[in-house]
Amino acid sequence: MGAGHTHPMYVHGHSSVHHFAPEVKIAASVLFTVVVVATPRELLPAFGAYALIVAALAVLARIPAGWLARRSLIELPFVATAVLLPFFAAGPRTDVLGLSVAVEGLWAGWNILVKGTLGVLIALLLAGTTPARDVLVGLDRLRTPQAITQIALFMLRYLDVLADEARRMRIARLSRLDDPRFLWQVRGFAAGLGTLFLRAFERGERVFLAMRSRGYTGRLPAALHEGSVATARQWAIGAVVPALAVVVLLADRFLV
Amino acid sequence: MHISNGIIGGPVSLAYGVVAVGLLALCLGRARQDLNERLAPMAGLVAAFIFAVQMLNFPVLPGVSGHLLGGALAAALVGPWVGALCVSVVLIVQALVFADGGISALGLNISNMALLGTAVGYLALVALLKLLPRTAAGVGLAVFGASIVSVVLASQGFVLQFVLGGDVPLTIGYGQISATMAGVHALIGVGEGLIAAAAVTTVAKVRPDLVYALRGSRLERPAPGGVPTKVFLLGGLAVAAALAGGVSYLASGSPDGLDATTLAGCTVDADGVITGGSCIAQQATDHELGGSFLADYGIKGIDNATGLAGLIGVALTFAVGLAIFWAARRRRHAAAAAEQAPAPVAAEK
Repeated sequence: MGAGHTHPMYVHGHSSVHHFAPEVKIAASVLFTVVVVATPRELLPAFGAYALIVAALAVLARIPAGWLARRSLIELPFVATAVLLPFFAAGPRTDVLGLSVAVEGLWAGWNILVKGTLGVLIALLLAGTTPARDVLVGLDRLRTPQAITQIALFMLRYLDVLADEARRMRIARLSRLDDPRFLWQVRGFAAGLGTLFLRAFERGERVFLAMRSRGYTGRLPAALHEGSVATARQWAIGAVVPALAVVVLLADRFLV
Repeated sequence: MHISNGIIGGPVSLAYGVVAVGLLALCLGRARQDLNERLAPMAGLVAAFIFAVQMLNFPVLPGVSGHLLGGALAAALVGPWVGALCVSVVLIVQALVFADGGISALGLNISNMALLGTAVGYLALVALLKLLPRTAAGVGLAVFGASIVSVVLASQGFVLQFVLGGDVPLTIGYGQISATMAGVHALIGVGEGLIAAAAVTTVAKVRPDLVYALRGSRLERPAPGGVPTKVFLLGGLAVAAALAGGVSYLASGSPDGLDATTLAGCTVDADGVITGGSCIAQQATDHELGGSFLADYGIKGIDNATGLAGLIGVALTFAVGLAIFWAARRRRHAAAAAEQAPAPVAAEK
C-alpha cells in the first residue's frame, strides 16, 4: 500500500518545473492549450513556435525526449486516423505523391494532427512533472468544488485498492489450481467482477471510516497546503508560457 | 469516446464548455444532499471502476476513441447527480494526468459522456425497473438495457457536436457517421451492459443499501410461479443479438464505397473490448491500401475484411455474454443455497 503516492505518468525529478506550484502549472497548461486550439490552421509558423515552446519546457523540466515520444505514442492511433481524412473530404482535389486527395481534407487532417499532438505533449509535461496528488491540490486551490476533488481523491486511492484486491483474488485462484488462460479465465473473471467491486468497496469503506475518525471533513488536509502555495512571482513566471503563445499567435496573424 | 483537441471548432467547444459547467454546478447542488458518509467512498470507487474500464480503448473516427463509458453503472449505484460528477472526475483526471482527451475538448467530452450518458442511463434504468420484476435477474437486465441506451445516445451526442462544429466537409454524410457511431457503440454498450449488470447484481444481492436505483429496498426472491430466470437470460441474449447483429450490419452494409467501408472498418472492432489490437492493425492495412492503388481490389479487400471481422466480433461478444450469464446463474444458485444456511455475509462484517 506504500506505492500509491504517484502515478505511472510521473517522471521523478527536481527541476524548477517540478517544484512549481501545481495550480500555476494547471492554469498555464489549460490556457496554452486553448491558445493552440484557437490558432487558425493555416498559420504554420505559429505551430512551429508552439512546438519550440513545448520543447523548451521539456528541456527545462528535464523530461527525456524519448519518454515524451513513447508516451505520446499511446495517443498515436487516435491522432493518426487524421491521415485518412484527405481521402474522405469533399471539395477540390490535388495531387500529393501521385495520390488524389482533397485540399480541405488535407488541412483538416493537419489541423487534428498538429493540435492533437501539441495538446498531448502539453498534458504529458504537466503529468510528468506533477504527482497526481499535487494535481488535486492544485485543482483545490483553483477553487474546484469540494465534491469534485473529494471524488477524485477517493478515485485515485481506490485505483490502488482495486488493483491490489484484483491481484489478491487472482493469486487466490492460482493457488487453488485455477488455470488462468484467456478463454478459461472469462467465466472466473465474470464471476469475480461483482465480488471484486464489493470487496474493494468494503475495504474502501473501512478506509473512509478510519479517515473520518481521524478528523477528515471532506477538505484536503491543511498540511498539503503548507509552504507550496504559488507566490506572485510563480504566477508571473507561469503566465509567461500562455502569454508567449498569444504573442506568437498575434504576431503571425497580423505581422507576417 | 474521447475527443482530442482540434476536432470540433473553437466556438462550439466553448459553448459546450459553458453548458457543461452550468449543468455540473446543478449536479453539485443536487449531489450535496446525496454525498453523505455512505455515498462518498462509493462515488470514489465507482469513479475508479469507470477509470479502469475506460482504459480499454481503440480509435473509431479520426481523433475520436471508443471505449466503455460507465454512465449507466454510475447512475445505478450512486444516482444521476453524483454519477455525472463521477464520470466528469474521470474525464478531468484523464485529460490532466493521462493526456487522454483534449483539454480544450473537456466540455464536449463531459457533455457527451458524463451528462448525457448518465442522464439517459438513469432515465432508462428507472423506466426498465418499473417494467421488470425487482429480482436479481430483473435488475441485471435493467442495468444491461440502460447501459446500451446510454452508450448509443452518448455517441449520438458526438455526432451532433460534429454536425455543429466539425469543419471538414466530408464525402460521407452525417447519417453515415451517425450509423457508424451507433453501430460501434451498440456493441460497446453490450460489453458495458454485461460488466455493469454483473457488478450491480452482485452488489444488489449482498448490499442492496448501496444501490441508489433500488433506494435501499431488498431484492425479491424470484416467485416460484413467475417467469423462469432462463427466459430472462435468453431474452437478454436475444436483445444483444438483435442489437449487435442488426446495427453492425446496418453500419458495415452501407453502399458508399471506400470511405464508408474504411471508417466502418472500425465498427467491427467495437468488440475491441476483447480483441483490442485488431483495429490498429486494420488501420495499418487501410493506410497501405490507401498508399497503393485505390482500385476495386482494395475496396473489395477491405469490404471482405469488414464482414469477416464483424462476424468474428459478434461471435466473440456472444461467447463472453454466454460465459457471464452462465457464471451469474451459477452464482445465483450458490447464493440461494447459502441463504438456506445461516447468512455468511453478516458474519464477515
